[in-house]
Amino acid sequence: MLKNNTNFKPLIISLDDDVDFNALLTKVLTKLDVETLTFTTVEPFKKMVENKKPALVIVDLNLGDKFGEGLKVIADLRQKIGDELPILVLTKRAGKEDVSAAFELGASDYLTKPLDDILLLAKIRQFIKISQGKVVQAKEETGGLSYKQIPSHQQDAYFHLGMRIQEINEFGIKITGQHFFSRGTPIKIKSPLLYDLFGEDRHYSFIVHQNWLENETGKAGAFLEFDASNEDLMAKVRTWLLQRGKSELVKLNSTAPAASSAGQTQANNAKPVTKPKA
Amino acid sequence: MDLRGRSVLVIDDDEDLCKLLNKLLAGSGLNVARAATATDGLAMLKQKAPHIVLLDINLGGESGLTFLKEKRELPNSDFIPVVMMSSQTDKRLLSLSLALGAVDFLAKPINSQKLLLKIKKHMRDGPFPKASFAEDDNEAVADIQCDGKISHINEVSCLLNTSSKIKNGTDLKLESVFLNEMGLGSISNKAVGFGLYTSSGHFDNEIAFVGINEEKAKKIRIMKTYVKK
Repeated sequence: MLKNNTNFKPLIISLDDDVDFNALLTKVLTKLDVETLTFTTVEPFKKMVENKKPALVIVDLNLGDKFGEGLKVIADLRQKIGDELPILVLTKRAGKEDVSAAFELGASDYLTKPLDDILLLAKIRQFIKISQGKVVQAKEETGGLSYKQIPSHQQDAYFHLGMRIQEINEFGIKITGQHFFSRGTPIKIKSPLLYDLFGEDRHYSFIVHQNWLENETGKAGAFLEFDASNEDLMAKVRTWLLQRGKSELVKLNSTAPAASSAGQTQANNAKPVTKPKA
Repeated sequence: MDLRGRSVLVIDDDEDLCKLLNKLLAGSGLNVARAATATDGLAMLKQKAPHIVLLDINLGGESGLTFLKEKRELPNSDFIPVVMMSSQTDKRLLSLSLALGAVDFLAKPINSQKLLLKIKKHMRDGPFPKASFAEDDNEAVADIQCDGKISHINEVSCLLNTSSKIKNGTDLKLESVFLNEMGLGSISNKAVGFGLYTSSGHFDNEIAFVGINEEKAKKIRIMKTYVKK
């Protein structure tokens, strides 16, 4: 679908500090009828992107010895170029936090190295196609039906999604499932477990404090923090944790130090924002 | 180690010492609860589930050992360490209290630096339990309610802007005054495609109307506000 008879070639600009990788990428991209430019440093890359208006850019997260420099580049591009440009992240960093940070800053998609050429080409095709010598974003293709804007005062909506509670510790609630929630998202959560813990069968308000996304499985999760300044609430949580499933808890304790210190880190970085409205 | 937000229960019948301890502990950011007798102490323990207990060996008529014995009967009370405080240097009493589950011993008069050090040490040693739930645990299902904005609509779907990226193919139900007015309130929805990033952690999710009929589609078609996306 990318091959086209016109002379027009969409431009793909890539940023990666690894020269060999750039050579490999260029070779892979010859399978598409596109023009490819590769850069190893940020400034010329940015200048070129601003001047040439590429159809898609590919960004590595680690540039030289600057870990996560790519994240800054993504945020910058989104600010300067706008929301239309597809930004593909291609990196060795496969950590859940990296994936979610990249998405939150505006990455359109995420691929991990080593380079899977078939997958990369498929992803690129997903984002761009050529129409009469011009690049159009593939997403715009909605079967000829155009969208109508809804007046802003009528836009409010809410909806329900299913997730699972994976863990409750004294700092908060860990939920997992298939949907990704950005940090700072206010959500309301209802569960038999929270009924048991707080005593009312209703939705309790929290704010997403931490999140993660597994790129491979698409599994996402979020950490909802308890309001540590509410001592009554914290006492309720601790009492409940002690009461609940004796043997289960004792067993956990033998393997607990590592796991619970992870929980502590989460809470220590925390600003107390969450409050089940008791 | 940061003590802020952690809680400590002081069980001592000496009013003055308690005031002093309260000042010291609260000054380090700890939440302090206090009891003067073993019975009160147990009630407080059940109610507050503190991170650590400071227990005087002599509580007026009662002995701190009574508290230790009763505490052992409570579920998972091992997670709450008890540090003994006493002016007596009776080795028999000390070893008895250690046998009953106390973890450490402080001699009176209390040295504030030593006290804080011991509190820190035992809070780190005894991490509080957590509860984990299996994939098939019915109790752990959670219904998440989220707000969003429906910015655009066409005859088959609408764009929902929200701070979650909804999984492709998810069945859901959008609740909105606007959709109700359009007669779409009874129609169920499905997320299609992948949420596209818009700005500051928000995503445009395409939400399809499942089984929309011609009459309803027409209503959308003739809708007045016409701004093309």
